[in-house]
Amino acid sequence: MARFYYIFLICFLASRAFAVEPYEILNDAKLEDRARNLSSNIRCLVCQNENIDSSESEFAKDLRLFIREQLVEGRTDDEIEEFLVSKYGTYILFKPVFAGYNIFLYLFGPFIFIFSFIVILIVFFKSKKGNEACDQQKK
Amino acid sequence: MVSELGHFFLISAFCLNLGLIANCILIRSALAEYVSFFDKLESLMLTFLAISFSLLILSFINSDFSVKLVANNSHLLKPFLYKVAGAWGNHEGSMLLWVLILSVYLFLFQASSRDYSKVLVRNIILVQLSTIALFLFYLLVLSNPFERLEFPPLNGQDLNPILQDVLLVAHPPILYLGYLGLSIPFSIAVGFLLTNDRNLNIVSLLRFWSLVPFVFLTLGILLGSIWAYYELGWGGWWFWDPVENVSLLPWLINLALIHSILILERRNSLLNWAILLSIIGFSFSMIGTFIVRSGLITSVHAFANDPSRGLFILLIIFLAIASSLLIYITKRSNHKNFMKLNFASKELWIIVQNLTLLVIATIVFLGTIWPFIIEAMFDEQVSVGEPFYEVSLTPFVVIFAFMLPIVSKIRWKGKNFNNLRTTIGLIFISIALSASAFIWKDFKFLTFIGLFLSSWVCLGSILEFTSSFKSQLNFIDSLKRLPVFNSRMIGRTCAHFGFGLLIFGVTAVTSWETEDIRNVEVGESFYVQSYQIVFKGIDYSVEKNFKKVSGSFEVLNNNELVGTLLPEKRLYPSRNEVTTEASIKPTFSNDFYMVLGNKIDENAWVVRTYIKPFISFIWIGVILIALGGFVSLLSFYKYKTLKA
Repeated sequence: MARFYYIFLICFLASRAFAVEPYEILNDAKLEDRARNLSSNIRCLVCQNENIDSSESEFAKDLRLFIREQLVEGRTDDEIEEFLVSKYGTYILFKPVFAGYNIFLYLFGPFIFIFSFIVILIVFFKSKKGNEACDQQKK
Repeated sequence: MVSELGHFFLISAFCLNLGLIANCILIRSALAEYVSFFDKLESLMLTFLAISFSLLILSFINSDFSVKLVANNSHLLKPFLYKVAGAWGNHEGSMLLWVLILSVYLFLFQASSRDYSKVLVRNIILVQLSTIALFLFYLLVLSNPFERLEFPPLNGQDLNPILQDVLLVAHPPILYLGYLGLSIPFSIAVGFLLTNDRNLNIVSLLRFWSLVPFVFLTLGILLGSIWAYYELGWGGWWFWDPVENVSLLPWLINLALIHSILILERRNSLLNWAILLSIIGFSFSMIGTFIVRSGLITSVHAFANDPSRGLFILLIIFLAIASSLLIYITKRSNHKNFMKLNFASKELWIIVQNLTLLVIATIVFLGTIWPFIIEAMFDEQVSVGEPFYEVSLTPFVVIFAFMLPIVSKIRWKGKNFNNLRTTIGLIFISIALSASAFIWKDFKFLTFIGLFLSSWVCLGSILEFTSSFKSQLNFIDSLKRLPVFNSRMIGRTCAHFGFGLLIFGVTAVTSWETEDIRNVEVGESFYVQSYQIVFKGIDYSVEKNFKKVSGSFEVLNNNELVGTLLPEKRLYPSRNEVTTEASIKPTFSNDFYMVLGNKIDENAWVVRTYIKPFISFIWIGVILIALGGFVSLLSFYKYKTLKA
């Protein structure tokens, strides 16, 4: 843990905030936009919860350059992400792929919402019926 | 000697605490004189803890490096303010502060609630005392802040330089006031369950003590966010960092609690639900501490990377949460009292709003612990970060915001939606307003949704405010009942309006931010949007505990000076670390944000400039939300004076 902490210190503190260097930026604005978009989903593996866009580590820099190279060569965003996952594992993506056990992560919230919503409605109609029955009894 | 005294007082406080707990359990029908003696003992415990904490601060001020904590977290060259703040800028010290604030709340609660049923108050105090005991025990056994070193060093290791900041001096205490303020609703809930009288009314108690932590929690989160904005160097203000998430969780639950109390107050229903939310709220505060402090996460907040401590904290928290839930399950009232819910009633839709908040909290919580679950179960590593939260939370935030004006306008026990006509009309105005923004900007669907929601929420809250005194019969009467005198009404409008502004700020910043990165030579000028920026010069200087390089830039709009930016790079020799200090020029519509990057050659530097539109709306919105909570609290003051 201590070693990790030092790597983090070096990466996170010593050199934050000069992430993307001017020479890295592509001339084609559309490709650069795509590169930015991709980078925001890719984790700097030697840093603390940072994407490669805002990290200054050598690792992040290499990946930024790699992504831009691939984009210039005409690869799609998905191809590049797939390649990175095959090389570094799923840990590198900030947005877990919608597959396997991650489906649970994505659908749990909506499921709870819909499920509880139905429960509330059931209770609502039940209470209505109960109240109506009550009212009739009173009459 | 100072440190031993501190330790002594800490132990004394613990003994007193145990004695008080025994008192609470053993003596149920206390005599009046006995109770006043009991009260004094409680203030004595608070005093002991306060003395103990002051003595710790004193050790920091004196730079007594024979105390291990001081040696690890202070430095001779550190400015006075940060020496003091060093006392809570570490694990042991902050745990002491944690216990101290718990007992401050105990004291405040006791001082403010003499007229409630004695048994109830005793039980609430008992729960609070037990919580304090758990954490005091942990403090004394595993993280003694007063531990001495056998061979004291000549100088300390210093506090992490990016934490040396005025905002961060205030951030932990205020956030703790929020986190631990939630302990009182928790104690009220559990104390109420322990009291066997189900006819006691705890509504106003709960309402008061859930609003207090709300204000502090909101402000505490805001301070952390503003700090991240100007300190972390690229102007982000929320990172979905696990540490931020765990501070958001109790806030969301607390928000749900505050709104469910409204139903409790009006319809005397959903008591169990409010009690459960109170328990969950403080549980999340504690789980947050565990996640932050256990070393599961390495971040600027993780002071203790000691597994045994993590395990112990986990045990404490498990004990507290499990026992309170057990009490909840066995003691909650089983009285099946379905309140009459109409489809067009406020009650029903507040419940749905509550549900939405809970789902948001669930997603945030699941996202935060997901990497740990996957690692434990499948031995694989996944990351869950900003893009995930954006995708999965946006629909629910949209649902929540869209419902807000409707739910707050709809009538209690309402039978139809007739009074909503004007509110529904606002939808069209909001659509028109938000669409008009795209005369200047490119159309983006999410931006449109964000703009629509913000104007809808803002207009809705204003409409509600104004219509509340339209319904009165004559003018004089309406003046008398003007909402200006109704602090709850003002508080609500204020908070809801603030939420609208917050949505606007978030939408504007995420959609229309401009970034510019380039090499600039001294004397050169360049354009970002329509603003001209001139690099005036570079300056080297030496401060008390760091050396710095600062650039000087002028921002011009049509040859008129908007402001001067002075971004810095600092070298802290005591830790051999370099930090960057962004320079920000806030104006009404834009923040100019500049960071000095690497030196290219004698004259040229990498310069990063951001223009962040309307980011101040985020801060103002959140401040209004906190202010809303505060103004709502004033209603209690008025209530009391009216009574007297």
